[in-house]
Amino acid sequence: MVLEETEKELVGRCQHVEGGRADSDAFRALFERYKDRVYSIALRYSGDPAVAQDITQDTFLKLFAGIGTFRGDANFDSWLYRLVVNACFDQKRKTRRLLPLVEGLLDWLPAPGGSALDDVVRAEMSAGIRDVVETLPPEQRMVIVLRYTQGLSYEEIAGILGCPAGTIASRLNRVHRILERRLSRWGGKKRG
Amino acid sequence: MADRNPWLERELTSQLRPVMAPDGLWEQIAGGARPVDRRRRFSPVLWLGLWPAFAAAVLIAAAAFFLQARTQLREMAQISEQDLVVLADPASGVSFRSEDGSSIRKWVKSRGNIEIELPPNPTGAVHLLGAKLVELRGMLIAAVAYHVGNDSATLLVAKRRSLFRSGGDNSRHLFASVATPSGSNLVSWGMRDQNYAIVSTGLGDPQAGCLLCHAEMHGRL
Repeated sequence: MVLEETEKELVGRCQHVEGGRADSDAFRALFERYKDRVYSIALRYSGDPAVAQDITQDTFLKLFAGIGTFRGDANFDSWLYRLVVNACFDQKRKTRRLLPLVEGLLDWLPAPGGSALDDVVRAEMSAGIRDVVETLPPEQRMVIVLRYTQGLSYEEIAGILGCPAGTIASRLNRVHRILERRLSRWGGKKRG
Repeated sequence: MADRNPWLERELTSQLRPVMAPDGLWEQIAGGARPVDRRRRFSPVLWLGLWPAFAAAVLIAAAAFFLQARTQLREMAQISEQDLVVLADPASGVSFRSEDGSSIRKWVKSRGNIEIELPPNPTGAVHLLGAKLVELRGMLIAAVAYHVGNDSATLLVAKRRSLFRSGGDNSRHLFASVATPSGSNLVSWGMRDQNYAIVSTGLGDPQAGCLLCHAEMHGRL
């Protein structure tokens, strides 16, 4: 049985430089471990796969360039999240949805066991959620993404964004109210 | 959390669920910057020795940029006329349906940050249908579909990546090409910081599509 390398060991290998050369295998391993997490945040934030790839690339380049300054006793996840959040905020290209995402198209396919009307209502609600999320201000959108894409707690999100947990709670409440208002015509409130 | 709508929680969790990163990202990153010895620090002495090379690099980059700016007048035409005709195909539909020029202008601006000066209510034979945004070879293109009489036309607009703004608000069009690929009429030009093209089908005069913004041409066509 091969034990998986711990996060701390992997980061330590990335920080270790021998003969002027860094351990490129360690960087690759770090990338493989975190790429989905970084890309998911970037995609859900930007709504555009091309922009998400740019953000992911930017995040990892900054991570590799700055990993020498990372303190071993700090939380690596939080550090990584801050990098990707900053890369998202720095991304100058305007968020846009050029073509529907594949999963957006899949939403329109009938789900097994549901009536045609349910499928249509569900697809419209899904599109409504995406539309609302895409039009949120950057800070609110990021709160939603960190909460629902990564499942982070209010405290974790607050630590990443550098604001009180109460602010995170109020931002989430605001978005929920917007979504409920927007989706109420489809009976979303009654479905709970 | 207690007062949260469970249905909405489920929908958000589902809609924003994590995804897998696409293949090839590592190659992009490894190609963009190899891991290097991060213990190396900024050296003023080294920097002083390198400044002539840096200055030369800046000059070369400026020259390249200037040349690029000159050629970008024909950028849209160089995408290939056939590509533009395909983009403008009326059968591909529009993402935003509207007959109102102001609404279309706002939609394109908000979604693609492309400014199109459309008349709010085109007169005469022109009838707006809507707009869509498409990406071709890294260039975001806004396509505004409309009818001139019974014929179809599409105005394609893309930003030029030039820093140089030529002319003021009244700058004249500089036509790059007038062609008829695949039996369609195509007129393209550059104006200020954007490239434009009109692809039309069935219009006898290639410039009939210009009636969208130039209703005064009606009697001359």
